[in-house]
Amino acid sequence: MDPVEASLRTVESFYPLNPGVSHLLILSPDTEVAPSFYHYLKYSILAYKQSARTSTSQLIGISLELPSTKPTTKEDYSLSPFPEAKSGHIPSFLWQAPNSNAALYFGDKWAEFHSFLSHRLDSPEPKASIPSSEKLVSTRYPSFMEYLLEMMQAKGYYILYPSFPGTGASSLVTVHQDLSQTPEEFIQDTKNGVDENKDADDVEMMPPGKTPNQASTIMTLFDTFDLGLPNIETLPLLSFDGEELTQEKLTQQTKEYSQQFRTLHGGCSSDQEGAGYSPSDLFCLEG
Amino acid sequence: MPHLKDEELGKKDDDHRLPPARSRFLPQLSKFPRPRRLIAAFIGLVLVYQFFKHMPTDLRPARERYDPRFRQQNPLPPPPTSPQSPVVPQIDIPSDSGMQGEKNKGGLYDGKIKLYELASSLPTDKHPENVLSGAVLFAGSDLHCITDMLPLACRMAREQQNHVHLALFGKEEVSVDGIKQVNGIVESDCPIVWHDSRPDYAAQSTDDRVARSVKGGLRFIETYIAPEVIITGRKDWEDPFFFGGLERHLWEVGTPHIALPTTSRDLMWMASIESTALKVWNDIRVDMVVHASQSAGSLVRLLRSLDAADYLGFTPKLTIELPRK
Repeated sequence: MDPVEASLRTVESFYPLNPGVSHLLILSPDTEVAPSFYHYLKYSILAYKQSARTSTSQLIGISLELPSTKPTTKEDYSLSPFPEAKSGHIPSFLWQAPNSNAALYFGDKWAEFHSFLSHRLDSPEPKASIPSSEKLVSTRYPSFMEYLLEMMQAKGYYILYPSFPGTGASSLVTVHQDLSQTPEEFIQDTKNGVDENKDADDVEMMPPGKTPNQASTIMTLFDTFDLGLPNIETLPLLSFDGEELTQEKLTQQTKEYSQQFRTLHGGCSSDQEGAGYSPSDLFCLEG
Repeated sequence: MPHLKDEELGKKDDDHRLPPARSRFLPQLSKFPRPRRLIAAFIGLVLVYQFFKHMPTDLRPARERYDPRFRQQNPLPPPPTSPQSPVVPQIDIPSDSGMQGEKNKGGLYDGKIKLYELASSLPTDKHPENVLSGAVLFAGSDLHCITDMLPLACRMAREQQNHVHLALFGKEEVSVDGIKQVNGIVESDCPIVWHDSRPDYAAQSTDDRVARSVKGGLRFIETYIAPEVIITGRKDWEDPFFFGGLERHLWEVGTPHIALPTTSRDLMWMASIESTALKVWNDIRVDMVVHASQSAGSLVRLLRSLDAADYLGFTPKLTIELPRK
């Protein structure tokens, strides 16, 4: 199975019946969830997706995991210390990084990813698959992450990550490394030695897998933190590389990335903007 | 002989036969020149006397009496328990059918429903249509359920995201003040609006009468407050007649309803959620997808932990994608 095929298979494993309220939770087999994880998900969905006052169209999902490393192919894996929470609420931050271990994706955004991927893999020039030299996401993660990252960067999307496991409170999930396996689409690469050393390094960096918080509710969290969720605009925002962004900086980066993407993968030329294509369209394909 | 005279009078005027008890006055009346008119006037006086004699003493506030919207049925003096007239079980007629009278069923009262207390806590004007009220209604009948929901209701009111109302239904006879006292509710610490929607003779009523009173009370609350969502205790913790009336109301009105899946102390985070989000509580679906690897060991660990998790009464869908090989 090649990465393109694997990505299609993943994206097609779910389509929302009602995009407004039906959502997808992707779990990796290495994950172990806390008994209360669903309470946290429901709370976050209600607070950040279904509330008229706090919802934002740029949030595409909610991660249960606070990764200990960045999912990047670059040398620098470690995540810098998280920005201090500005309120006494449950600490969270926004990160322009996809997650495949334990993350919920909103139905409407997953539907958008369906459409993005079908256009993206249709695009004639250059090839739909991403050469490993250009990959941003490590091959330890499934191939759909690479395309999802493209969409997130082209649209300025981000995911809500919990940072409370980093502040001592118990976690909602544990991602174990003991039985971890490379996704099958990349197994061939690993055997050829492309990723072997990298994987060995990663395992050493991982902390031992602790059992997630066994409390049956999330109320223990509120012994530590205030009830209520902070306004999403006040949360710290990180780029894929872990660099702290302002909303203006994100808008600027998104604009640059999407222009580049339109010419590279979208089949657009610079003169097409007047011909019925708006700058927000990432693809200038017939039909 | 008064009896003879009485008989003669009866022959003279069959249409206006008087009750026998009053017959001794008739000889005097017959002396007057226009007996028909006088007899009619006398009957009128008797009726006025009867009216004042039987005038209800348990008068409610004028607004309740004169505003038909607050009066489920015409006022009538209800004898709550009158087992001396055993009646064949009858088909119950819903309160809104306009049927008069009361029925007995195993010695329990099943007559017209009056909600004496509800009007005093409702606003004077109807809630305008197509305007979001931002109101959340906690409703309950069983005292344990109400006691359980109170911390959440109070906390939600303090969070100031929603207008919080709490309505009492059913047969319990404890007053609102009594409930507040028992639960240590201080008005300033719990800014919710209380509604007492229990009917008259609640404790002696049939379950069906109380169920109808639940539905009727909810309809008034819907008209005047228009809650975005109704929160109750678990169905198996609540009184069956309460859920009977509630479900009939929901079926007609379609207000979203959250039956708290567990004790409210475990769900206090709901207090910070606004009513527009609480409305879709039951609609949210989470489908879980796992892409299994070739080793089954880790998958078993994941499935065990998923099995041990609490899903708030919902059943999420789990898809496991198996590897190709």
